[in-house]
Amino acid sequence: MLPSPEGACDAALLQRAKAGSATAFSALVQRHQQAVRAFARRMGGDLVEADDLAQEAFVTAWSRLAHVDVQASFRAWVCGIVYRKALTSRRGVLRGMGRDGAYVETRGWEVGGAIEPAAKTALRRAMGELPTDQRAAVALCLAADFSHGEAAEALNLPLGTVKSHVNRGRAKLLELMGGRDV
Amino acid sequence: MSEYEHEIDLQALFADDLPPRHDPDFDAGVMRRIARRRLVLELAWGGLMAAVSALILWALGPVLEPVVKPLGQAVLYVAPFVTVVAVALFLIHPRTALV
Repeated sequence: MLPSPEGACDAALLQRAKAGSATAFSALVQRHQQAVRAFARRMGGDLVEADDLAQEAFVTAWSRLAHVDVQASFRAWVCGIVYRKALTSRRGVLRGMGRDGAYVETRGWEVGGAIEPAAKTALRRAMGELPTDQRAAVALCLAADFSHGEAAEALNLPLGTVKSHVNRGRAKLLELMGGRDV
Repeated sequence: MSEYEHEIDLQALFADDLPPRHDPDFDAGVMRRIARRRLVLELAWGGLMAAVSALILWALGPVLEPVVKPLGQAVLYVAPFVTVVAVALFLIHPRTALV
């Protein structure tokens, strides 16, 4: 008997999804949607555009299931799709993100927390100032819990480059937010 | 504020600025798009197979005509049933029915 989607590991779910199980794929979407949506949002654009990008990335992943290695990291794979889609997007998700400060104030991220909105706005604005590769590396390794290796896999960049992007990106964020450069 | 405190701040800010862990609307949106994509692919596949079948029948027409013509009226009675079965098979499993 197959384990329930909730209890199965990613590799098992991916195997079942490759065999045509919509339930297994749906479970993967549920499991990784937060990471993928957060990454899409940190890459730029407004909330609707970012969610649209994240949904399209999942659909692209579904259409390419036959080509994926079940042992690979599913979330890294989908975030990689988000990254490539964002890079080639004509919707201006990336272009001008740093220049257009208005977008950061108008974004309605659902989860409010203890931190005041102004600080979040400052962070988003600072993220918008980072070059695309640095922003992506920071979004995966600092904002999410991706390892450098996983981020390198997602962004299709050398490991050393990712580490460098993370360090420089963090320094730039701290500088932009009023901290000392490291 | 020290560098270490800034690092903590960054992580806390990022952690506090996440979409919800699970959004049923998002799930539904993804699965709806997949269903739409699947339908388009199946329709395209069905159309392609229909076009190929028509082409083959057209090419084999001169060969088949002498065989089919003597059957005459009998074909007219059988054809609707064959059509119904083919459509039913297509609705149940399009690719199996067409291949």
